[in-house]
Amino acid sequence: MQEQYRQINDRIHVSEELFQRTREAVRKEERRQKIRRLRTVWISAAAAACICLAGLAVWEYTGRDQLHIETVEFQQNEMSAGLIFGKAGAGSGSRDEAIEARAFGVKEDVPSELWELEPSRLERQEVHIGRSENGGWYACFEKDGKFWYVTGSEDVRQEEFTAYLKKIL
Amino acid sequence: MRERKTKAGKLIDVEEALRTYGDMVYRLALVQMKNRSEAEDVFQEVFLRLVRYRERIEGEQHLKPWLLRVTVNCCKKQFDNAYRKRTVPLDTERSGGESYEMKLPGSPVYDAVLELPDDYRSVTHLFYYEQYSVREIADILGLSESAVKTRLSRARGMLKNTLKGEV
Repeated sequence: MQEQYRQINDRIHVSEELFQRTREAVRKEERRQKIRRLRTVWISAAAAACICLAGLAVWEYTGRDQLHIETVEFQQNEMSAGLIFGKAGAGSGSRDEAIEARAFGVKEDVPSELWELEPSRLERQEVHIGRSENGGWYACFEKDGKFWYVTGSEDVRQEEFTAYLKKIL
Repeated sequence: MRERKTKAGKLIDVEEALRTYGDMVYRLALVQMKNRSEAEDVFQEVFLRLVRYRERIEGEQHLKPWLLRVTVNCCKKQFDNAYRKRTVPLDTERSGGESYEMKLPGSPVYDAVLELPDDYRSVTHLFYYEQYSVREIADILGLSESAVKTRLSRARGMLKNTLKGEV
């Protein structure tokens, strides 16, 4: 029986037509698989690009300059102590024509009213910016362990003052 | 055909597998389906599955049993297909009432095997034609060895009855 069964099965072969048809179907399926894989790669790449763009947008948004300029009033004793405009004290710094900047080792050397102002963000750094009633510019920030105090005269424009701050930040 | 490789090495070449194992798959499909048209459908489906899942096949030595297992599974799926249960195959109508099944090789032994229950046919074919051991058949079909032995023993008994002592 076994031998008969073997002989009969040995005579059974895949027809040429079925072979060709299947080979064509296999090739089509392979092309489809290839396209599917490419599509997956493209979708993944697009998703990654979207995530990167979103991250970049968040980074840009959080890093954008945000200005909060408030009116600041200084107490008399600070005025008399000669701290305003940074013309006195132990600070060292750069001098511009209408804008002055001084760096101090102690925070208290900068008028406390300035530190209380809502902080602005310039070049991703916190800066407290204020204007006096007569239009003078004041700013303070901390950088590398030093406390900077910047003043500008009333004829200085906002763009000039912030540009100067960005330069020394 | 493709450059990508499996863990075991080179990726299976489906066209090569089609040439090497085509007859083997077709014979098993034919004995299971008892119908050329459906055996051809199963045949195609098996090799399309090979395209889809070839990355899972761990080398050539795994390929042959994988193809046999998938063939049996595809045949079962075809059997379970509600469409098949409810309708008459198109080929029957096309050939003017003459069933495509009638073109199967005519032999008392082959016919007797075709008369066996579905589960017995695959076991019988793998044992007597493909020369697999009981243990290998158990692995291929996901059965216990005792289940394979039981099926073989019952199939032998049925064939004996049908062929009146020729076994």
